[in-house]
Amino acid sequence: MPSPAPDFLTILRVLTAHGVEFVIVGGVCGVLHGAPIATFDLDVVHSRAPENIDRLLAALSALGAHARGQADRRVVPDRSHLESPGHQLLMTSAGPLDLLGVIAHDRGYEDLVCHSTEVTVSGMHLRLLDLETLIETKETIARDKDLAVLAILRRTLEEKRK
Amino acid sequence: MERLPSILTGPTADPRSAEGTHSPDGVDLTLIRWMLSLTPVERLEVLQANVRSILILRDAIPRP
Repeated sequence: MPSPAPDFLTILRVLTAHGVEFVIVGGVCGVLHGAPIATFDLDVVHSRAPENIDRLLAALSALGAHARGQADRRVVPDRSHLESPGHQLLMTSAGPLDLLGVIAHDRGYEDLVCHSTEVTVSGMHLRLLDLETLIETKETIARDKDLAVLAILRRTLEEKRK
Repeated sequence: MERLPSILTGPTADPRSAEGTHSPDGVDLTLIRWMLSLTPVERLEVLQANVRSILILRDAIPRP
């Protein structure tokens, strides 16, 4: 069965409706800043505080989230997964969602939230990693897929500053 | 004639513009300027429409 086409707005709406604290990073963050890049999943760094994990578990249940790439097994993320600094690559009823405990050398929610900016999208108040820090994290991670979009992100920042 | 909103017309480059269309490293600046002219929700809608189009094309390829 084909995977659902991403519906980023729906995922974000469910997360915010449950009061989940998170910062949007990755390709969707770049797009919201105005970078013309494509991505097929939504990457967020979530707060790993116990009360936020409670809210996140409820949101993931509403989204029918389960681990991607498990063939016939349906592995539903539990508290221990979400409390870890690791990356949970999930499929939801509204498309792929990656929950990242930390990114770029142990930078978690508490560190990133002070490098984020708030935008209002369809009435939702969303926190985005600021473009400077997004570029910095991609320079730090420096995988081929990160390097591939760096030129576009840097030029987007230059155009925004004009 | 009524002008279509920018999100429907896509990027345009004014040939009279003194600003270049590409950066020295080859990035298309017209796309960036167009995206920056949109609201955040419009940018997200462009992304979702692009991804859906790509998936439709992919699914149209017969599988062996």
